[in-house]
Parts: sequence; structure tokens; C-alpha cells
Amino acid sequence: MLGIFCGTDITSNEEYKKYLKKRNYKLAVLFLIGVVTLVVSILAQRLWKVNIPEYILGTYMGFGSGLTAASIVLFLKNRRLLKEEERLRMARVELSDERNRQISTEATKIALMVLIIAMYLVMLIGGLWYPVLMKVLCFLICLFVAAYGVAYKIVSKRI
Amino acid sequence: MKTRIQELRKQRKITQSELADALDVTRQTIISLESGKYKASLVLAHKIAQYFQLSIEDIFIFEEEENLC
Repeated sequence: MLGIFCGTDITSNEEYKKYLKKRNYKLAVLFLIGVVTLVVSILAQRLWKVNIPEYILGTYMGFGSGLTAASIVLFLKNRRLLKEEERLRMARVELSDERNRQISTEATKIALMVLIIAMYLVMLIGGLWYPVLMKVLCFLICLFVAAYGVAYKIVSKRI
Repeated sequence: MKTRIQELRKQRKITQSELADALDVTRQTIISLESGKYKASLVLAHKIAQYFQLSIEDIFIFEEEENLC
């Protein structure tokens, strides 16, 4: 399964090696974000005595652990790929295959549509009891529409 | 879109994996192309035509509405 923000038109193993090395730097940043999230969630209650509900702290810890673990696993996977040429070629073909990229694009469009509809319904119904929920979701939907408009202009000038 | 890829591949006794490796795509893409479920991009169609040493029109069967007149 191709990742949501993955997919590339790289055509050679050498280019793919450079792509993987750049990805490893991004994974290092993700690892740091995960660690910081974990540390903040641990320190928040124990050291800073912040009055946050347990489940919120649990969520932070979950995100922190998940980001840390995922970045380590992907980093090690990339390092292994960089050492084995045949695996590297298969991974490159999987990522750059045009059909896979089209599937990923279509799946992203559908998922985005589902997300927007869900956000709108939650905004409509949840907003009756929690006005702040309505404001936040309304802002996010407007942000999506604005970002889409800007991105459309930029991409249409590029191609 | 119908294609003659499977027919040409079998004539030359090439497996789907071998064709996929030669074209730098996955085997699933070859399967989808042969079944007509997936339409190749211009670049891929050109590569397939070069591989079989034929023209694109000899491999890909265009429907009436896909032609100019």
C-alpha cells in the first residue's frame, strides 16, 4: 500500500538512494518530534504539575510513542534497502509505478471527501452543544478550501 | 481500453514479470493493462511500443469516441 504523501517519478536506483537518504533526515526530525511529545507528556504531570485529564496525557504519550517507534522502524527499513540492490529496485518500482500512484491519488481524494463530510456533520450537530467545536471545524473546512484554491493556482502555473 | 499486450507477450514467450521488469513497472500494472482495466500513460505506452518494436496504435485498440473522426 502506497503512503498518502508518498509516490515519486524516480527512474533510477541511484536517484532513489538519494531520495531515501533525504527521507532518513525527515525521519530523524519525526523521531525528535515523537521524543519531545513523549517527554512533554511525562514532564507535564510529574514535574510541571499541569492539571490535564489523564486521557489527554495518554493521547500525547500514544502519539509520541507511535511517532518515535514508526520513525525508528522506517529508518531501519530504509537502511536495509540502501544495502540490498534488488530490494531497492523493487521498492523503487513499487513507489514510482504509475498505477500505484493513481490508486493512491484516488484513495486520497475519497478519504478527503469522507473527512470533509464527517467534519461538516460534526460541526453541524456537535456545534449545537459545543459552539467552540463549530468554530474550530468551520475554520478547518475554510482552511481546506483556501489551501485547495492556493494549491490549484500554484500547480496550474507550474504545469 | 483493450490492448494486444497479452497476445504480443505470449507470441514472444515473455512472462508478465519479465515484461514488468523491462518496463520498470509492477506485475500488477501489466495484469491491469492486459485486462483493460488500466489505461497506460503516454510515456508507458511509448515504452511498451518500443519494447515490442511496434507503434502505439498497433498495441492499443482505441474506441470510436477516442478517435478524432
